[in-house]
Amino acid sequence: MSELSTIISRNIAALLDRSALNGQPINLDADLLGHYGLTSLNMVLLITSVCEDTETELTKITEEDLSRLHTARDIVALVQSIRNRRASA
Amino acid sequence: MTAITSLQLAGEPFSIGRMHGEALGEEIRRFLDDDLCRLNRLLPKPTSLADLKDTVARHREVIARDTPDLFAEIRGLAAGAGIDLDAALLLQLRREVMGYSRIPTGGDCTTLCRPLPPGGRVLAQTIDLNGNLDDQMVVMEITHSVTGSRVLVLSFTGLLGYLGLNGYGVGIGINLVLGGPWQPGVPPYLAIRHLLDRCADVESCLACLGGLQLASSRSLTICDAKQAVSVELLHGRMAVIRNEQLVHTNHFLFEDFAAEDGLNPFSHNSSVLRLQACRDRLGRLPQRAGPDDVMNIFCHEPIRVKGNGDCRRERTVGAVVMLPGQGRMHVRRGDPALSATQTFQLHA
Repeated sequence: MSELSTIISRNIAALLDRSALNGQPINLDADLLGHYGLTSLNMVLLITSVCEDTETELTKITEEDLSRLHTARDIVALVQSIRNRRASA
Repeated sequence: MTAITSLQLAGEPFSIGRMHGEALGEEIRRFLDDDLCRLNRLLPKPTSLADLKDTVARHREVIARDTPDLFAEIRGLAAGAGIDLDAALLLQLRREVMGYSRIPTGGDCTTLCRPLPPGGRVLAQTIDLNGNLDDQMVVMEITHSVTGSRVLVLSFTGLLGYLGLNGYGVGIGINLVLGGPWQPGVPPYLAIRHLLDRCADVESCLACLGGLQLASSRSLTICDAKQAVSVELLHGRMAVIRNEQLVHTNHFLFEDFAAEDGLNPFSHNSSVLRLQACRDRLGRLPQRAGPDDVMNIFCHEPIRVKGNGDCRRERTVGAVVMLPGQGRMHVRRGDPALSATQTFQLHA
């Protein structure tokens, strides 16, 4: 698992009850709403803490970006695309 | 798409309301029956008119006190449409019933105002709403028999005000901003209609606004032949921004109010992007740009907000370009990039 995936998985796990995970690792392709039951508030807190932990500027992420994040892998892709844009700027 | 429903109403307030109710009774009753004017598709828990009785009553008291003519018109609307007064009031209070929390409310709409040579101004905006309300759009031309004032208003089924212009050359647009406790009061949509019915210029609009107990936060863009202002309204306080050219989206621009902004950080980012994009496009418009050039600004993302199929998310359900000095309103219903313009004229 990449460093980004690890950070994002850790932040998702922090929002869940231990019993919800049942000892399993976070599935990067599971639906965050449907499978893990994250609410809209959870999603905002999740992305905010991911931005902090990955040193990603919060101002780069819009409501439209948020609406397209359905899985942990989507979040990995978003953070990676922001990093790539920063590197090429 | 079919033509936008348009009404011509005239008389005293109760009669105007009754004519409105009689003309659109079937549409009004259908909208109320549609998941309680689609509220139950948007609220986290379903509600009913019975559940909302106390809420409606608290707003009714202030609407009757602060805007008695509009209260008479709402009574007329109920009588004409064959619905209870509470149902007619609910149609005015839909947005207040939805309320807001930092999550998940987005809050969209982009408004601009600039001089239009050789004289006058253009006031234009997108209309970004949830609930797929494009099919409920209505344009009303209203003539008050007592005062002689004339108003051209774009609104939605059963709602007496939203944005518009009047025979004095005043134009008013609206943006949602989120802040402060929302309370029993006059919904800003009704406040706009109240101003258009009686105010001949920007200064009288500001004076009139100051006397109303508003139900919720908003920003209004108001113009006349001589000046234009954005006025941010936050829990009994008003901040006025004066400039020849104005753009407003859905975050507070006045510094003191910005600290109390209830928009979530990602929606705030979207609002900032739309503001910057609109300022850029407005800056590139030629001096003598016409209504179509202005409308074209609203046909491009991020200003144009496309839907994703989720009716709970706001999207662009229309766009309006108003020339208040000429009494003219150009409207596109639905996605402005995909729909044709319909033009409405306030008659002399």
